[in-house]
Amino acid sequence: MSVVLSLSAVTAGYGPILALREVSLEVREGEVVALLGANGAGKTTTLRVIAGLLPPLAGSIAFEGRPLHPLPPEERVARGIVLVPEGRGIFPELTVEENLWLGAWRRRDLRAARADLEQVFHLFPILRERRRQLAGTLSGGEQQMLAIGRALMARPRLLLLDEPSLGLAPLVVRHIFEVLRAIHEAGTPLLIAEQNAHLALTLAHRAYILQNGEIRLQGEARVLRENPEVKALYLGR
Amino acid sequence: MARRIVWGALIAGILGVTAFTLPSYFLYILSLAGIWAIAAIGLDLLTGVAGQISIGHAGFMAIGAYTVALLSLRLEVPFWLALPAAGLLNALIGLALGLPALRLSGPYLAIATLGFGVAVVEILRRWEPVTGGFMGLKVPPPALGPWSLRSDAAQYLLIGTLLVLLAGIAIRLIRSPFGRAWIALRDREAAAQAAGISLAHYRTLAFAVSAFYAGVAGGLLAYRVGRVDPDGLTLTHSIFLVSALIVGGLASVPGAILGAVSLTVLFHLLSGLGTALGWRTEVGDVRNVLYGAALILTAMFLPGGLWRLPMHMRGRRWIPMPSRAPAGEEGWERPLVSVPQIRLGSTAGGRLEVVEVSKRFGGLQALDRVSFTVEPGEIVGLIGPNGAGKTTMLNLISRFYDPDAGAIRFEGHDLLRRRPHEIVRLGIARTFQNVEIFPALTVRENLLVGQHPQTRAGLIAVAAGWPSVRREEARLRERAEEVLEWLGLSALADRPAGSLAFGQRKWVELGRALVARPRLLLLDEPAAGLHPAERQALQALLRGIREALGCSILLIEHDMNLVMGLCDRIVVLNFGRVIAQGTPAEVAENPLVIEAYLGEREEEDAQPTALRSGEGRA
Amino acid sequence: MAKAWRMGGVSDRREDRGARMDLLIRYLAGGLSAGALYGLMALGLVLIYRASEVVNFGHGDLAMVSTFAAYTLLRAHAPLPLALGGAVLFGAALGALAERGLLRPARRRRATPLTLVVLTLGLALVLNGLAGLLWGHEIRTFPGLVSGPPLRLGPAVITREQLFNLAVGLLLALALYAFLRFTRTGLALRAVTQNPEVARLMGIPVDRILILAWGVGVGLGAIAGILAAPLIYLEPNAMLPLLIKGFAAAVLGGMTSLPGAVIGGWLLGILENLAAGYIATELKTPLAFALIVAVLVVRPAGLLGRPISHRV
Repeated sequence: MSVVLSLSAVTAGYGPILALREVSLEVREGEVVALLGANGAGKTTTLRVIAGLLPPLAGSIAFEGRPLHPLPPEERVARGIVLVPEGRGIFPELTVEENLWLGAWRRRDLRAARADLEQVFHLFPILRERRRQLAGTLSGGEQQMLAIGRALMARPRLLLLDEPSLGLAPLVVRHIFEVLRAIHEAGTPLLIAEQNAHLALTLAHRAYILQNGEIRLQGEARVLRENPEVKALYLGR
Repeated sequence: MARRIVWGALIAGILGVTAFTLPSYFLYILSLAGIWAIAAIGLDLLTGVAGQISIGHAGFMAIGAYTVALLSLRLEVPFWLALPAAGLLNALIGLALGLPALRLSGPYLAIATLGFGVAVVEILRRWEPVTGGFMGLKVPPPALGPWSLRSDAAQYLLIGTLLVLLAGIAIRLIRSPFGRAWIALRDREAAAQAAGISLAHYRTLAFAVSAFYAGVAGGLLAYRVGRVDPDGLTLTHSIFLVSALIVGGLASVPGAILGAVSLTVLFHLLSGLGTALGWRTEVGDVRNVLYGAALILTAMFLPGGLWRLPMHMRGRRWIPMPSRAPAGEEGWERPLVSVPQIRLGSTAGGRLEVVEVSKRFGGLQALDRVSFTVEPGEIVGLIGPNGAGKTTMLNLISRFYDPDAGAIRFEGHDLLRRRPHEIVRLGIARTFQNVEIFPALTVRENLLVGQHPQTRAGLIAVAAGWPSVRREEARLRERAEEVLEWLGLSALADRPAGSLAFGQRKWVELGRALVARPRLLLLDEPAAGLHPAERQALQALLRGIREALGCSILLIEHDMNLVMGLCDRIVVLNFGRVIAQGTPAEVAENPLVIEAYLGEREEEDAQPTALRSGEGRA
Repeated sequence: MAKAWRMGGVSDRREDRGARMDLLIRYLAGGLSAGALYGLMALGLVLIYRASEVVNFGHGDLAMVSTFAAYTLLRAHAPLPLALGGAVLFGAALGALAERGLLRPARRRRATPLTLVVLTLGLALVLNGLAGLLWGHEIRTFPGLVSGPPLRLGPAVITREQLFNLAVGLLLALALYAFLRFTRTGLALRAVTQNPEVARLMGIPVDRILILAWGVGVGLGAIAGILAAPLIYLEPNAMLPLLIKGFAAAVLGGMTSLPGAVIGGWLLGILENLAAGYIATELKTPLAFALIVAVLVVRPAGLLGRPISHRV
């Protein structure tokens, strides 16, 4: 399988403070990769660097073979890298439908975009019901669905998700992860940062576990699920 | 004391010599410069030190000018009564203005003060019977008994003397608990309140003091020019004052003086040049272009103003900025100082009761009937996945907002009836997730702010520089020194806190909380961003704190090693509800807890062996 | 009218009632027309504030310079639409330049709110001075944009100018609404005002959108200035009252609400005219200030704005 995304020794931080230290990881075609670790481990920073919101201090990132570096976030979306940010990041004073259309903002093929909108409504019927409601009035779970639907509207070639299960009830989370599985099966590679290790490991093929900005553990999800080290990294030794 | 006499003599000497040697015109310009300097110092206290924008200060000056004019004309009040009266009247108006200003910030405050300044001009223009309308009033020169202070030299001396006095007072204020309170509120409002500083009290006070200065300046201007009229102190002048501050240097008395004097002198030089060149109206326009350009260039490239140019040249930033990382994802620095050994004197812990507390934010139920207690002297950990409501709990205890339901009591006191700045007086101190130290203050000053509730010095005492104030300050410093030593921060005491490494800043924040002699310490993710060596040090430090002070500790943490190793009891939140409480051992084995953190397993979960066997208390 | 009240008796004869009605309608018409201009100023201010979180204290002087540009073009015998269009575009370009050249670099340097206020004040000063140097301080008259006798609409009499101003104000407000609601760029602008970082994640070039917001905002101010110029004289300091009233309208309606700006403008215009007509003309400008201060004291969010809270 070819490599879709690769990070080589990426170091990044905020001011004098380093949040990522020499992190290297890969996402291959058709894969789901999980980025795990306790709160503050560096998961969000990693995704922000890939999305272009934070410039790396060292190291390089390549997407589909080409370096990402000088591109601002707006251009990375055009290349197909789409981030669903932590906390959903929906626009509260725009309607559900307007939010979804914003996902397709860069696209020129309106007819295809309209077809995609129908697809999204098919995946998340509740959004069709609420299409004219202001996004700020939706529940947490519905907002997460909206955020994912909006990302899909961009026809991503790599979908990044930052803590999709955050603050959501277990049933809703299950539904969302089923949708993510469907998205993956349709061919889109996923990179998911999650605090909920078990759930992520059931969906992912491979996973990396971060602690204090470094990768401590990596491997196949199947193997990591049984590994007691994982629990220790989360719950202490 | 000796220093003061030397300085006083030096300044008196300079004033005296210049008064009798410089030509009249120079004295006139310097007099005006002095007046604007006084007003600028006042504005600096409000905008630079206290962080409240005002572009209407000419309004206060105008009120001062007219007060002096009316008192002199109608009541023949001598200047040494009229000027203070003008100042005091303005202080009262400033106080009144400060109250509504509490709800406003940044640009809204700017608009409101703009409105105030322009409104004053309008009222002065239309209230003919009192103010003489657009014609204005003539002002008799100030008189000291039989001597009329009409000459340029006399006025120059008067203004110069007042400038020196008022500058001295301003400097003393800035270095006092008042100045520190203003700076703390400016830079980190929440942390300042948690340290016991009342937002309402200090913000309105800043307005009052600043208005006092402007009033005196306005009065002096009335005497110097010999008349008052509504077009003499308009929006243009308010903007001039702001320019003086920006160009000279914010939050600095010498900077304010430098800015006001240089801009005034510049303006008059320009006028002189213009007259020589045959310009008339163009002078004002050229002046505006130059002021505007100076404002823009200074704001962009020299934010500390001319006064801080030497610092800028050396590459140092004026206000050291802490970093802006998402909460928790800070990095780490070099291993920190050693674990303290010294004893600090005990306070004995207090009992905290949280009873059925609920809080909802919009669609999110952040806390749902949460109940737990912290017994005196206990260390309790509050844990739970991200978004579980932990920081909300702490913020409720700190009274930054109200719960929808429930009660919170500490040592029997109902906390819900208190305001944020009253909490520390009850014996509760806290730290914040984002390490809210005051970057512009030194490490020692940060700790002095922590002792704010223990300061007694009043405004007059501070302004006058009475010995009791110095004695109190010395006492506070001693105490701060103790804590600094205890924490191993003595070497860093005089560095601006914002220039410190991340781990060091955390220690400073702890120091600020400790110096308040808390009986309950609230810590929000104290270990976030620390690397392993520092975490060890932190664990030892927290234990040491409990031993030395005997206080109770409630901490939010994600670092399980730390929590398990340190806490007597643990409360676990998920989705705003308490899902488990108990000793670390009990909690670690609780399947609900495991599920909350790691997620539900499809198959039945066997004994979490890694937890039981692998866990150890440090 | 006011005199009748002061004399203690208000007559009840039909002719007098009719006259009172006429007067009232005249005040209302005048208020709506002036209010349309205040609303345009306010719209520009609110648009800029929502997009870039900056209160543009240079707005009045930007409008003034654009009006002078129109004046110059007209004096050079340019046809009316060209002169006006050119002047508005000139103003918009200045606004775009202010954002690109002044505010963007400031944001990159992590400017504080005070710094941003100071920058716009500096801009105001520079423009004011330059206008004085270029055009001098003589009081000029700006030619009226419409001519013709006043119109009779039922009992009311309104001048063509009032009708024109009202119509332009209304049309522009509607056009802005349509732009924001129905176009792709408008949607992008709305997204940027709500969450600029996430807007970038949508592929929206936020920097360019901000330039657009400033261009449109200042353009609206330029139009307001040009429409107001025939009613007041033209001189570098003549636009200050218009700016203050624009602020008053924006604050009244809520600095974060575009419809609020329009409504605030009309409300201010009507209140002002009623006060001037029934009490005293001198009250016009003080009323605006009084309103600003009162609103900020009682309800800083204005009529339609989002409540501001002290964030922790």
